[in-house]
Amino acid sequence: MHAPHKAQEQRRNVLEVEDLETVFYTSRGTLRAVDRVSFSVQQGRTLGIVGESGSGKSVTARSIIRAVESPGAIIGGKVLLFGEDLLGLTESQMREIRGRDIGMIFQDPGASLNPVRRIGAQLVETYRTHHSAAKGEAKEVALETLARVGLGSPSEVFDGYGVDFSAGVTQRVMIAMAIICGPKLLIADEPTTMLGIRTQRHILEALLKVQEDLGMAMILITHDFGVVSWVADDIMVMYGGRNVEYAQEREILQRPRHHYTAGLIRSVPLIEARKSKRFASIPGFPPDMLEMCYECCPFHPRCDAAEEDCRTVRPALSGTHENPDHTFACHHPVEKSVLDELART
Amino acid sequence: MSDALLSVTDLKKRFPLRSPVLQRVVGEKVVLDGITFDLDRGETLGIVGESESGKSTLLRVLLGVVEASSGEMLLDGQPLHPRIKDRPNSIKRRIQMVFQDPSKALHPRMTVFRSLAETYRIFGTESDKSIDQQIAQLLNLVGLSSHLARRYPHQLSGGQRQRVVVARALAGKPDILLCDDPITALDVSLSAQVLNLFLDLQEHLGLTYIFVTNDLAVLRQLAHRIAILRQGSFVELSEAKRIYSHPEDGYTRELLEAAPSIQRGLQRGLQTEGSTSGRTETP
Repeated sequence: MHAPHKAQEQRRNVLEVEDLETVFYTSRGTLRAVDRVSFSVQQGRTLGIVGESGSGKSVTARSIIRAVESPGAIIGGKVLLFGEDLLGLTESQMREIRGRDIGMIFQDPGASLNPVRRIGAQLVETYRTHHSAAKGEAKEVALETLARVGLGSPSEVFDGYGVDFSAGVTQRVMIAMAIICGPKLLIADEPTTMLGIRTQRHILEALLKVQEDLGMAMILITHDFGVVSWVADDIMVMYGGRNVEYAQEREILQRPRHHYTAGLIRSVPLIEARKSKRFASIPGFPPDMLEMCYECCPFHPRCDAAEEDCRTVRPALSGTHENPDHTFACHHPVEKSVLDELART
Repeated sequence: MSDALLSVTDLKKRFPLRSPVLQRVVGEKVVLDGITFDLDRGETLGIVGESESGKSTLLRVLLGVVEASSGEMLLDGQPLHPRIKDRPNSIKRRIQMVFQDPSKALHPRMTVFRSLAETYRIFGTESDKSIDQQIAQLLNLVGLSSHLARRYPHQLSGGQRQRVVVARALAGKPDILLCDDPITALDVSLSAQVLNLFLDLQEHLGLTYIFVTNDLAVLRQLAHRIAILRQGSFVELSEAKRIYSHPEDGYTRELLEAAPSIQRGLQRGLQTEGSTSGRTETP
């Protein structure tokens, strides 16, 4: 039982990010949180952005909606929503876009919920910010949306406060808040990390259903390869603020080319594994972004295939002849299939 | 007659529910509803529980920081005091806890050295090596370089902090480590390292673990036996292998089914590998 994956037809690009650069100016130096990252998401499809803490995935999400605060700044690139560059818009134009065209869900359910206002009131207000509608009409839409995210008693939730409900319900409310205006793009930043395992599954299913109903493009940001392989059509792996690999989900799972990607896939504990087999891990620690080398592959200190050029030349993102859509930034990519390796164990 | 290291019988914990303003007792909440199990030396018992299952309370009751409402705990056949302050030091040091959030478990104003030295001060030490040497050895045991002893918690990475928490738990040479979801806060590559550390320590020091987590896949490799905790009682408790191959309880089956497994993604890959079209099928 898994999420049905969508066929790759020619679909419209909802979002195109080109060479995005976001930095943070700190007393110890300039931190390149997003270092020339490019990707796109089509209508009805899901892009999974995978990376560990500090990889730049959350900053990427916040850069898209231009919610990067000082000492951070977006210093380069383009963020095209249906061809229009969001980086060129004014803040008041962005305020219209957020909520109406782009919805966002965060890791901590309830972080964006006002604890002293009823949930219904907040939903209605969000709707009426972007649509001129009477309160009655807005309430109808709110109840419909609460049902759409899988809540069994929408009126009960509508009349309640955030603190009355469990994390699972609150996260569904957050999804409802994010989609009530029918955005074309939904960005979910670690939406299930804080939830119990059954709730995680239910929330992911709710997101997929909502996406199907509304034909939305979706970006799912996570550190969990298990979650992303279940939900995403395409996957981008980030490390040290860079896009290190990008391909369709199945392709990346079967033939990861970057050693970090292969390491991540191997590190996921498998339910089918045997007792006391050691956990496959990636040696070393994630890079200190301020001490990281620039003209190099940022993963080289932890990579057992690293050579001299990995230390001195920044690998460019490129695909192969056989598969130009599967791009990776590695001088000496993985040759054998991780799938074979795992099948043998 | 069991010679289990730890033996727990019908442990219950009720919390009074109080009215908001006057704090009058209006009812009670049963958090632990009759927990019974034995734990053998050198074993890892995995406890799977979602939120509100009572998993943290169970660990705290075993540690003695929360007092059980009823029930019995025996350590090596001897009754274990329900309150930690009633336990002598020689007993206290035998059961230690590793917490979920390392940043909250360490005193922010104490260096790693002081945090560890504190444990030696409380529990004493039989070694004739200097405290410096012992702490260096302890840090090496958890895979940390001894020069980190001079740092404060905020100067360490998440993975390093968690190792210090483990080191501190080990300083008193415990028999049992209670682990309250110690890897959720860590990235997958770091959590794998910490898990391997747990495996190594069990092999070299003969440690016994009670490991609470949501992650069934981790327990597959870590635990000998697994208990499924739901609303204060064990709905299933058996050998790890059995839980995965023949889960008896419907709730257990739900949990197993829900675990998004990369294996399923790979299995799908295996099913359609060889197909030339870009289209994916839904079975």
